[in-house]
Amino acid sequence: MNRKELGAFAAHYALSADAVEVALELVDARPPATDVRAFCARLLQLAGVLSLAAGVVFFVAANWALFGVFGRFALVEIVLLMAVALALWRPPPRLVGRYALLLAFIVTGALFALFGQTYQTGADVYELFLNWALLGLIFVVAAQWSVVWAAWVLVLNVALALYCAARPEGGLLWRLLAGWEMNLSHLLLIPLAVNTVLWGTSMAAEGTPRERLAPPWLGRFALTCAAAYGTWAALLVVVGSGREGVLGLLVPLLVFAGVAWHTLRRRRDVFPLAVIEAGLIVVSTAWIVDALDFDGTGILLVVAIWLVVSSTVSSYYLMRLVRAWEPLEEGVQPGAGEPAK
Amino acid sequence: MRAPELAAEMARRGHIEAGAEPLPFGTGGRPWYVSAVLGAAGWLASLFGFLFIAISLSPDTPSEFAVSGTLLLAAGFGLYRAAQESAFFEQLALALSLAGQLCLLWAVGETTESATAVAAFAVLLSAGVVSAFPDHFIKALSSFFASVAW
Repeated sequence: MNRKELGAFAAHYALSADAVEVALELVDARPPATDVRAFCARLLQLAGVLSLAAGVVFFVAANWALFGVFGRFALVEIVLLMAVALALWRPPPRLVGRYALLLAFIVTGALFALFGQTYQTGADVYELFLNWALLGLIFVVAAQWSVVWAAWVLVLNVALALYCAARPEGGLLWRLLAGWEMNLSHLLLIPLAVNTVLWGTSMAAEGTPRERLAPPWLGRFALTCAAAYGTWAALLVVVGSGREGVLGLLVPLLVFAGVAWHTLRRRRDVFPLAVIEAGLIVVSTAWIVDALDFDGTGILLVVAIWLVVSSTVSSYYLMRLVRAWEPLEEGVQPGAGEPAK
Repeated sequence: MRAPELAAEMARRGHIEAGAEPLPFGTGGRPWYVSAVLGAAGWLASLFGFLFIAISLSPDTPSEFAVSGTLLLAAGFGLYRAAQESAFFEQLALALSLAGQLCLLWAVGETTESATAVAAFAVLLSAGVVSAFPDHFIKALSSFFASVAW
């Protein structure tokens, strides 16, 4: 039970101060000092690993002129080797091994950046992130930790976004797609597909031992990225001059419909519908601005009203589902917790 | 532990009457992602509302902006008070109050021509909204604005 539920519980049953204390104790709302210490220790450990990774990057950047090429590479590679050695000495799922592999994954990116900066390879920025995602995958798999998977999904999405935004003529993706005459709205369907597959993988892992590698929050993250790319593609078609082709609108709408159908069938998590509705509000607002022939002032009022109405209807629908699915999650028949009429 | 289990245990210990009406589902408030959709849409709607007022009513002087802002803020406050259970009026109230705050900040900016003064007024305004408005969501949003302005 969260803070709001506890407050509502106390208010509903008009609990006395003593009864509130008992309720707080029963739901473990006041963790013992040992739990608080353990939480703080893990938080500080993670912050330490991230600070160390950032420190390596900043140290090399700040002392760029003082170090020679050998010194720069040696510093980053020694940290990488030490992290790998630490992970081999205390392999995951031990915490030390996981932290070491998270550090190794981040430092891999720093090493690619250093390589590109030192030798001026002419590679596009997206290639740095794509190579980082591909070659760092070994650390991600070895870590067996959802946090490192989240970092990997982030790096992969940065690579895809950079490629779609800049459309550079070079690198792995360009070679794969060079023969296809793709406009931007079509190109955006690739990251949409990649992230939808990642979300589907997370869904498939639910209830299996792999769930700890791809927990629901990671699936939500991938789905949010998918919805963002889908919305971007659809926006280009809606406000474009017809050059983008209708596929950039149809495919995202079909994907959104598929995700919505799956979510409504599972009746567990409302989040996918919220993301889809947000995307649809953005696309429909852009369509109103583009299609309706209002004068400059009128359209501002229409858009403001549309945003209020559409978001209100969306939230009303989502809250209905939240209330309807909550008892199902608790294994209670719908309506059992409804107030007496 | 879920609410029904807690209620059963509390009843067993004598803190709740055995036949008490169970807690309705969905009392945990809005999930954060629904609030995020509402907040982003409300914020955008307020921006468009502000532009509509700025263009159609053409308030030229800071005092006209201040009057428009005060009226919008008062309308938002009134709506929150009058219709706390309606998602539509809540969202409309959010858009009105944010547009009102924008108008007031514009008025201060025009009068003082100082970014520091605007930021300081934004902190005060946000603190006022947090203490006066009954809605948790606008309190959270105003706290965020205050920290940005600070």
